[in-house]
Amino acid sequence: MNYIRLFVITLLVSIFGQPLQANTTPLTTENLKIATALLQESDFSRGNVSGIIWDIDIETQSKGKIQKNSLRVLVKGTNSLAIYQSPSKVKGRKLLMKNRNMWFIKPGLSKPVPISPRQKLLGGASNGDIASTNYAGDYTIESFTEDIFQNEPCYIYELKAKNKKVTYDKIRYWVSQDRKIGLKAAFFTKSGKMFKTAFFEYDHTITLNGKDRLFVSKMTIVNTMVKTDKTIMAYNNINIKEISPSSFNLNLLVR
Amino acid sequence: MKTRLAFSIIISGMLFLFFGMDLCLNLPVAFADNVDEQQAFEDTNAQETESVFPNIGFMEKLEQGFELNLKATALGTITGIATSNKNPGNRFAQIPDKGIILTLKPDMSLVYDDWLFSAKPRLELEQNQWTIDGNSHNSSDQKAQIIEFKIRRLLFDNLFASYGCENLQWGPSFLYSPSNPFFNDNGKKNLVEDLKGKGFFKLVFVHDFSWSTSLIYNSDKGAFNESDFKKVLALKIDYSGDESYASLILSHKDNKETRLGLFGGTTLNDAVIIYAEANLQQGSQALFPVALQNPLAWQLDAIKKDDHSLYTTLITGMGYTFESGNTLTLEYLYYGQGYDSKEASNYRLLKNTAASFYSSGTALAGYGGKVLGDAASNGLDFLRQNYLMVQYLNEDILEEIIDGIDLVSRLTYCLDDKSSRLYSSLSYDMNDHTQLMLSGMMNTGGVDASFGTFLYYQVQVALEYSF
Repeated sequence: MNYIRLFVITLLVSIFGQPLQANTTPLTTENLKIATALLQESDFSRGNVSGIIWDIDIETQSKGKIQKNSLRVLVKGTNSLAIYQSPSKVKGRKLLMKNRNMWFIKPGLSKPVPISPRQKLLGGASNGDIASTNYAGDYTIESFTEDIFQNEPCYIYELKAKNKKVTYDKIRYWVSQDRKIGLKAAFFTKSGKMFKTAFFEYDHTITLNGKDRLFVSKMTIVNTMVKTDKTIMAYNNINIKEISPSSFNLNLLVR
Repeated sequence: MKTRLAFSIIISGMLFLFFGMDLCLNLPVAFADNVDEQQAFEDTNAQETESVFPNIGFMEKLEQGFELNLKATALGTITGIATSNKNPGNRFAQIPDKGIILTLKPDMSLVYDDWLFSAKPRLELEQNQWTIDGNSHNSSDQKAQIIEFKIRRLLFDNLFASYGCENLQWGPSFLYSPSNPFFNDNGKKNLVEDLKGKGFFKLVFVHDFSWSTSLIYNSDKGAFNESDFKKVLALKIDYSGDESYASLILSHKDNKETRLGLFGGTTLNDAVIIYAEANLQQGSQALFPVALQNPLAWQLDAIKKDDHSLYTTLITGMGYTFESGNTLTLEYLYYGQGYDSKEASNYRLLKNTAASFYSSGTALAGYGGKVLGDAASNGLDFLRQNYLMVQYLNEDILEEIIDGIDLVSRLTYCLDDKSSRLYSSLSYDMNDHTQLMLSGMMNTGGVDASFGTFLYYQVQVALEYSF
């Protein structure tokens, strides 16, 4: 009987106590350097390069309805420009983001309209989700912990926004130790409530600094409150190149 | 005949381009205007990441650089004309009370190396009905015109030169754009009708991601029908940072005023943006009522054109986005040139006197008509000085019942004479190609107030099909 009790306790602890068992690495200067370097590496695989142009197909599933948008997106640092490609009724619309300074341009309306970051123009995705990821630059590592995610050894990062300019205040981020890519992210409100999680797939490869590197192909965002609400962002036609500042200049964007 | 010929040529050209070149499916190479192929600094070698900018031939460049957005719209309008002695029997203003416009809108652009060409031809069929002194009249018209076009070239390192017929718009305000010396409306005439452009030479130098300078010369009236057109030269300096933006516009109109325009704004947090837009000018070209010591009694005159006083126009605004995505916008406008109480009272007397002359059937009728004409185009964008605007954008207002219905409601209120304009528009996405729109506008305050001199209400319905 005691053996059975011991077995059940061990089983329960192994199931529910996994985070407690996880190996939290102390944040020494050396460890922080290593953690930051790995985070930077994972950022490269999610577009944080000197300039990138990609096509993003966004599918939003909400309340049993499906909405699809296709965008061509140019990103350079904190600047990004999304140009709507489809459906036909929105073709030619543009969303210009200079970090939190955002403008919406609609064909037929010569005047660009300033918008707040909260305005939803991309279905279930936040405006900031279409930009490249610079977690290493925008967030402070509060802790990182060894873990296993989908049978893959990884580190869980607890990230805190360095300032209010970024899309999310707090992120829990799973990064593969071997492949150096982000696998999963949980996003939290300021009050500490998790409101969405994202899963990443890497079916693309790019060459960066002479090395082949996995590159993000899909991001699936799930609403934590309403699990059936989901946004899938598929990345295609990835083209890494220098983009000039004039691509993000409002005077030149309205045709 | 000429119009028909132009109509046929444009339609044939459009059909050829549309069906002959497999256009819409290809994204233009330099949709970004200036992505520099030569500056590519990294190779991408995976099958999924093949370059979209290979060394391609002339025809391929044309095909990839060409973009066509084709729309067809139908707009129906019903207007309630204000009954007043300023427009007796609608004889004076001759405003249609019903109308329908069918428009084909092939917006096209071509990016070829450092060049950009764009054009917005409009093919219109219009039918109107209006009532003058109780008698109905009908008219129909067909027009083929290019409302905007542009040719632009990248000269060197982020310096762009262009000439075009454009409707240049900028600034954050919805109600009015005082910093813009060329156009001060919001770039849209009604639900689907686009505004025409004027002729501009422009030089735009983009210093970096934050700063740019533009030299803009308004050389001709373009598609506008302005009898008193004057050339304008403007210098515009723009800053656009991570959270804030600001611009300064210095302009001079030929033989007229020099103006300083400004606008700026910032994102306070995820949900709140604030902004302001202003204009400072010496003197005013607007017409003001002047009492005469003769039987004509009144006239309108630009009595402040040589005035050394500075006139300010200022808009401050704030936008708040709710968790649902709905957005509330508030704007306050101070319009320094607008009539004060005494001038407004004189203006009312002037119009009443002119209206009585106009209806008198005497030798003064002509003079009355002229004064009413001057009063209707007195050079003021707003009659009085203080206005408030509240706008609410309600997205997916009936999402539980029917998807894709957005509602915009706007109230513009004159704090000086308590008159107002109520406007609401509803748009419904019928499918990925078709949008149905409905709008209603109503003026309150009477014919002598800021709004409603000529119109009581207007209802419009529009259908837009995107190919």
